[in-house]
Amino acid sequence: MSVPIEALAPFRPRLVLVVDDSSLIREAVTLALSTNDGWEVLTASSGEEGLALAGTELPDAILLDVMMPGLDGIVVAERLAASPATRGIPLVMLTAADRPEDRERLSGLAVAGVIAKPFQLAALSGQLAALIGPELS
Amino acid sequence: MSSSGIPASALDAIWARHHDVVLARLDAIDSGTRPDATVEMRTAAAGAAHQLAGTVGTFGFTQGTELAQQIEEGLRASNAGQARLPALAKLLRRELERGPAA
Repeated sequence: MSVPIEALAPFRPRLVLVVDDSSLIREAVTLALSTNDGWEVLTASSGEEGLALAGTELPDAILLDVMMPGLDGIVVAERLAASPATRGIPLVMLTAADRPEDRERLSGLAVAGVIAKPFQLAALSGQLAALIGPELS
Repeated sequence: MSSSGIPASALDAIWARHHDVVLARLDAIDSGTRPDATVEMRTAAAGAAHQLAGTVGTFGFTQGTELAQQIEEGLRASNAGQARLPALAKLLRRELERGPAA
């Protein structure tokens, strides 16, 4: 009986880049996802830092806050989509405000999903996995 | 360990590490909700309320989220409902000073 090759592949946690200007949120998300074996977490405190890390680390997914000083999440998402290196990375937007102008800007982006703030930490891993889908590699 | 598998003590430690940040945001809200607040103070207070609205619920402060949202909306709106903002700010501070509930 043959064994599928993927069954022999070593388990690799999926790398998630969390981009949020709130250190409380960055630490809480890191705690929640690190508690689950399936994730490895990298954080950035600004849109600029997030763009740089996305380009060098090529994470499996990006959790991106919408409202940040400097480059906001929507501009970051547009720049990620414009780069061949990062356009395929699933983006999940984090937003505390259900504002019509944000909804309109978000509707023009190819994002995997939106998670409303505040979110339940216990549910975050499952929400993220459901939004970005199964690992393909 | 909490029922979610996330250690409650770790969550408490994160909250404690950021206590000063939370207090600074509450102070900004207090300043920006005073009747004599300048436009800059109100803008800063709205930003602080937005940050708290998006954060504190994750640590179990459900009422804190609602209060912060009401304060942010009040600060970004015109004059309607401005008089109640200092009272909402006081309630928010009381809620957040009682410690994490997650």
